[in-house]
Amino acid sequence: MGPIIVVFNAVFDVLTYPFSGLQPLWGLCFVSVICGIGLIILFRAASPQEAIARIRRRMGSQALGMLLFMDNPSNVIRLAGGLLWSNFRYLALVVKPLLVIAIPFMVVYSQLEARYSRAPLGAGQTTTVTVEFEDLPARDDLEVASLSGLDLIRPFVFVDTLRQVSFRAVVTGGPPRALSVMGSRLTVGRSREGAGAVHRWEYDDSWSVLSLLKPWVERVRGDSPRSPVGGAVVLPDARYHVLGGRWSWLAVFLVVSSATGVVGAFVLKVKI
Amino acid sequence: MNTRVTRSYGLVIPLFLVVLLLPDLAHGYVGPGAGFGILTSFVVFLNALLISLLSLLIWPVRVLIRLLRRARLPLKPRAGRVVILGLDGFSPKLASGLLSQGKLENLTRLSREGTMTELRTTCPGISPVAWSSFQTSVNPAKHAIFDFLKIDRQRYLPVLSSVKTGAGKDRKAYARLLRRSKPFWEHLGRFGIKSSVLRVPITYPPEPLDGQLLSGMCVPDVRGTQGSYTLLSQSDPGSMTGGQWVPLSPCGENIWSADLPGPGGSDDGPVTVPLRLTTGERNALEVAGESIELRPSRLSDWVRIVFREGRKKVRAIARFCLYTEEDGPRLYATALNVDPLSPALPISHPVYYSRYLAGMQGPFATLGLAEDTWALSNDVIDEDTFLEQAWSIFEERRSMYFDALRRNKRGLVACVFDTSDRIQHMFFDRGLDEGSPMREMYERMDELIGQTLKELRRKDVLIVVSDHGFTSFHTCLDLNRWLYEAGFLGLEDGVETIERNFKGVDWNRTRAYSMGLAGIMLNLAGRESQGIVRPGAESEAVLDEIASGLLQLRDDEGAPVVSRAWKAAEIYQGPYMEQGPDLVVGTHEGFRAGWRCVTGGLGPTVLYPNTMHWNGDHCHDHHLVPGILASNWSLRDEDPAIFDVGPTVLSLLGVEPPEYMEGKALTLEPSSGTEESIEQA
Repeated sequence: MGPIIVVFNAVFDVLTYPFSGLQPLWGLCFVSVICGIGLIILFRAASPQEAIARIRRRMGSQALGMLLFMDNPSNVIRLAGGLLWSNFRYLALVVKPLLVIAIPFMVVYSQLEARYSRAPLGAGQTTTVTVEFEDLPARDDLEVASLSGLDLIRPFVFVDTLRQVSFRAVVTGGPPRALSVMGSRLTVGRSREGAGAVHRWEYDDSWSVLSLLKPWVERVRGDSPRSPVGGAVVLPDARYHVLGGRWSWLAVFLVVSSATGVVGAFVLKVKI
Repeated sequence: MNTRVTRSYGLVIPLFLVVLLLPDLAHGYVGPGAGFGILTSFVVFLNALLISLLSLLIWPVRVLIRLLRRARLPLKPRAGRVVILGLDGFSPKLASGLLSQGKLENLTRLSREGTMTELRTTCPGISPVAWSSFQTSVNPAKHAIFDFLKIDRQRYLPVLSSVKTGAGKDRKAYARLLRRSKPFWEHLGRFGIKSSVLRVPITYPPEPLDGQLLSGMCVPDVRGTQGSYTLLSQSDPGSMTGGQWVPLSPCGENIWSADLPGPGGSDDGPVTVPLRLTTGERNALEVAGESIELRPSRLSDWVRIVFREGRKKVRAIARFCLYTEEDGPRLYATALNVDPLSPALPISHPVYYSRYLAGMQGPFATLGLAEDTWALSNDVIDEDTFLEQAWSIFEERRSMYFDALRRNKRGLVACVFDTSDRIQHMFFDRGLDEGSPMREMYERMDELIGQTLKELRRKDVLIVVSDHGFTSFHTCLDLNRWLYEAGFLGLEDGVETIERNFKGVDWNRTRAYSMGLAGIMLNLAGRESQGIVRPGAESEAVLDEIASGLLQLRDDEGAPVVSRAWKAAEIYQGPYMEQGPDLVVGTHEGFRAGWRCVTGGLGPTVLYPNTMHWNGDHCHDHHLVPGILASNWSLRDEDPAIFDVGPTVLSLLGVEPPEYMEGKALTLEPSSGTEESIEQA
C-alpha cells in the first residue's frame, strides 16, 4: 500500500500546490470544490436515479395530499404514514451510493484533516512532544536531539506505565522541523507550509489499507529494538476566518462542497 | 432543469443555510448527494409530523365550520356520499343485449337490486353538449354548448365551442371556458360539501370548487391543438388530419435524427427538440436528454420533454411507438400532453392537484381527447397500439378515480371514463362477439362497476351514467352538398367542392349552411356578416323548406336518411340561442354528417360511404342513442334525463336544486338489496 499512499499524498500535494503561498483556506476551498463535483458525479453513477426521482415525486405528492385532504385526519395520517414509508424507501435507495461514496470520502476526509485541521507552528511557539517505546529506555540512555527548526526544553518526563517520554520543544525555524529520538528521525508539524501536518508517529514496517486513512501519521521504521514505536506532537486546532466567524476546517469543507454539490447537481441534472 | 431536482433544492437550500449558521454542528456530513439525501429525509420526517399535527390541531375548527355550513342545508341529506361513474357512450341497448346473455354480472346486480334504465340525452346527443347539460342541468341554449364547434358568424369560420384561447396585451396566453351556467358541484361547495371531479368533459380551464377537479375533454396539448400526433418517417405520407409528418433523416448506420416540433414559438416556426433514433437489435430513442428503449409496435412509457422558448420552458409528456418496416423505421409520437407534474396550462383545481396525482401514480394523459383516433384512422398506428393506448389511459383514470374514492368519503365523487366512447367509435363494426374490442370494453366497464361497489359504504349512492349510446355509422351525409343541390347554398364561380372553412361559398347567394355534427344555420341578415335571410316569416319558411326536403332524402336503396329536423325554438330556450344552429338534423341509424361538412366543407355527393376506421357514432337522432342510468338505489321515476342527474345529486346530499335548473330531482330510494350488496362486496 505504500506506493498508493504516496500517490494519494502526491495528488493532494499537487492539488494544493498552487495555493501553498496563500492562506490555507484557499487550498481547502479549492479541494472542497473538486470534492463536491467528484462526489456528486459518483453519486449519480452509483444511485438509481430514476427510482430516486420517482420516490421523491411520490413523497412530494404525499405532502401535497396532506394539504389537499387536510379536512380529514384519517387521510392526513394515512398520507403521513405513506410519506414516512416512502422516506424509508428513499433512504434505502441512497444507502448504496452512500456506501460507495464513503470509500473515497474517507480518504478525502483524512487527507483534508491531515492538512487543514491543525494550525502551523510559528517561530517561538512551544509544543509538547510525546514518544512511545516498546521498552522504555533508562533516563541516561535516552538519546533525543533536534535535527532542524526546534530547541528542546528539558526536563524529559518519563511515564513508566505508558512507556512514554514527554518533553517540550520550541520552534526556532523551518519547516522542516525534525527530531532524532534514539536514532530515528521524527518530523514535527507541517512538513511544508500549507500542506501536510504530521502530528503522530507510529512504528510500522508494513502498510495496510487503513494507512490510507491516516495520512497525518508518519510511519517510523525502527532499525533497532530501542527505536520509538509511536508518539505524537500537540498542534493547535486550525480556525478559519469566514464571514466574521471562526470556522473549523470541516465546516468550511461542508459548506463549500455542498454548495458545489448543489450547483453540480443542477448543471449535471443529478437527482438527489 | 428538471422540476423534481429544482424542488429538492427547495429543501436543501434552507438546510444549507442552517448549516451555514451552525458550522460546528456539521459533523454528521457524509458527502454531497447522500448527505443531502439524509438531510432531506429528515426534513420530510419533520414535514410529515408538522402537517399531521397541524391537521389534528385545526381539525376541530374545520369540522365546526363545516357543521355550521351544513346546518344551513335546506333538506336532510339522504346519502352519505354520491359516486358518479361516467362511462362515455356506454349504450344501455348494447348492454341489455349482453345482460340477456347472462353477461355483465355487476350491471345485472344493479338492474336487479337497484336501477338500470335508459337516460334521455340532449339534442344532439354529443358529448360536449350532453356532459354540459349533465353538470349544469340546463339545455344548450343556457350553457351555450351546442356542438364541439360553433360558427364565428362574422368570419364564417368554425371555432371551438367550449374554450377560447389567445394571448392578452401582455402576450400572456389565456384560456377561457365558454360554457355558461354553473355546475351542480358549485352548489354543494356552498354548504361545505366537498367534491372530487375527475375528467368530466367541458371543465377546461378548471373552475374553482370546494374540492378537487381535473379537467377533461377539450384540454389542449402544448401545441394548442385538441391533439395532434407526430409521424416521423423517411417518406412523406401526404396530408393527414389530426397529425403532422416530420422527416426522419439518416445520420449513420441504423441511426436517424429529427426535430420534434413543440409549441408555436416565434415567427420562425415551432420550438423543437432534437430526437435521435437507433434501430437494430436494440431500438433506442433519445429525445430532449431522455433516453428510452423502444420495443417494436409497442407504446413506450411516458417521456418528459422540455421545450425551451427563450427563457420560458414548456413541459410536455409523450409516448412513442416504433414500427420497423422495409423502407425504414416509422416512429409515432402521441400528442404532446401537458405534463401534469408541471403543467404549462391550468388543468386542475387546485393547480397542484394534477401534481399530486402525477406523483402518486406517475405521468398520465392530460389531453382532452387522449385516445388517438386520428392516428388509427390514418393508419399511422395499428389497432393493437390504439387499444394498448386506450386501455393504459383507462388504467390511469381508474387509478385516480379510486384514489378519489378513498380520499373523499363524504360528498361527491364524479369521474368520467372515455375509453368506452373511443373503442366504440373505432370498433363498432366488430360487434359484441366474444373477444371483440367492444365486448372486452363492456366487460371491463362492468368490472369497474363491481370494483366501485366494493368501495361503497352504507348510505353511499352509486350513479352510473353515460351521456349517450352508440350506433353504426356507415354513410356520410354531406349537408352542405344537399343545401347546395337544393338551392340554399351558393358557390363562387368555378368552385365545385370545398375542403373546409367555407372557402368558395358565395354568401350573397347562400340562405343556409351547415357546420358541426348536426346543425344547419341560416345566413340571417343582421346576425351573419353577409346575411341575406330576413328574420321572421322568411327565415321560418326557409327552415320549413329545408326540414321538409331533408325528411324526403333517401339513400340508393330507398331508406330514409333523416328521421327528424328540429327548429331551434322547438328544443332550446335560453339566452345563448343565437350561438347555436337554427335547425338540428336527426339522422337514422348508420347515417351521420359527413367528415367534410363538419368543418365547413362541401364534397361531390350528398351521400357517400364512410370508409374511415371511425365506424360507430352517436351524432344521430338523439332518441336512437339514449345514455344509461344505473344505480345501487331504486329509481321511482319514469323517463329520466341527463338534466336530472345534477338536481338528483343535490337533493340526495341535502341541497335544494336551484330554480334555474331544468332537470328534476329523481326519486332514488335505497333498495332492499343495497345494503346486502355492499356487505357482500
